[in-house]
Amino acid sequence: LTEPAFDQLLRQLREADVEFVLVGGLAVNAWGVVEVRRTWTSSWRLVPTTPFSIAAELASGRRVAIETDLGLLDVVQGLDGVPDYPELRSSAVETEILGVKVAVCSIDALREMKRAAGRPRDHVDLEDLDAAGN
Amino acid sequence: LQRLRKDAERPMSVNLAEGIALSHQLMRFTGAARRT
Repeated sequence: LTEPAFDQLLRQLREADVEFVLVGGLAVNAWGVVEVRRTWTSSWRLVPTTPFSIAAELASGRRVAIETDLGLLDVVQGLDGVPDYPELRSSAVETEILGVKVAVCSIDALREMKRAAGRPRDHVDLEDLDAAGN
Repeated sequence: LQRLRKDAERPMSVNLAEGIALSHQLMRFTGAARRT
């Protein structure tokens, strides 16, 4: 990666009419828990980066991590505990980031995913969301 | 705890922007560490 620019990445996704809902660390941020340890982390795990192989990976229904010039795009799908897209989208909350409209998963969906993931970090996130009053 | 509650009262867009800014800082830091 060079200079990460997640806001530009979100803008480009919107401009390309890609439908998505923010989940994970950024959703935790959006719901009021903003600390360095909650933010997106970099990942060294990569998938093949040719467009063809990315499309094949996405079509497989598995989770795909795509490293772009603007930052890591972690496409979460097909994981236990992650609701399917229509369900996630129907309860999502719309917000705007630097002029870009994005959908953030609902607090209930976020909690459900965190409980399902069950990692120590997820338990801490749940505690912090409780403490924040969410 | 107070900080968490104050942050949670802010608009979602503000928290999201701050989260992205912190992520950028963190990744710059880890990128620099990786290069050294």
